[in-house]
Amino acid sequence: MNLHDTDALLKTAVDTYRPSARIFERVRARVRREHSGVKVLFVSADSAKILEKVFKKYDAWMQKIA
Amino acid sequence: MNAQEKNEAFDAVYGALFSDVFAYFNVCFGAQEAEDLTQEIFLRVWRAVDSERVPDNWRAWVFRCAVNLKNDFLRRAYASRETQPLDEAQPDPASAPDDITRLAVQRAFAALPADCAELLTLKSFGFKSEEIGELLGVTASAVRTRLQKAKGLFSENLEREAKTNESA
Repeated sequence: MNLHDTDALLKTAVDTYRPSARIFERVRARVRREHSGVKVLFVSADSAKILEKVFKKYDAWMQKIA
Repeated sequence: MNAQEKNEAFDAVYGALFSDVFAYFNVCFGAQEAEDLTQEIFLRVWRAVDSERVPDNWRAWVFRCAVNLKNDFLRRAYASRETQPLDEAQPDPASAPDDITRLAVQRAFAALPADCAELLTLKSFGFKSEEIGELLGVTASAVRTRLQKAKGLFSENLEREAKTNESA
């Protein structure tokens, strides 16, 4: 490493701040998820049953309206 | 543009600019904030691709957003006084240098004042003085003067680090 080549040394310094491949993929996945507008919910088994009933009822209403 | 073309357009911008944008925020604020701020920038890229108002120069557009976001973040942080000061931002430990010269280079860079580190980072990405001036809202000649000063400080820091290593 040539200690008098300031531009090359600066590039070396800045390169240490670059992301890993893991960060590259993780942020891309987060951006895609945010952009899609899909929210992931974690619910217990009981809550899942309640939600299923609610969605079925909602679906039935929608079909009636249609 | 159909969905497939939008995906490809986004991937092209992401692949070309992600590393630079992340490094810029990492220099300014550290890795944790860099992830969140970089995510915000690429959400804006998605919205631009979606709206089909695609800028002529993605690189300039993305970095204009990045500099604005950095300034907003600093304003919010100043208001809440809870942020890590710029000069305490650290590179990713995973990319820690494996030899003494690299360590000296990294330390010399980390010891720079925040504005010098930002300027030299943008310069190392290949931006011209005129482009940096537009991004930071100063004249090209002011950028050249500051760059000269920043490089001088970096060299001084490096010399000091080298002497410390020699005497150790």
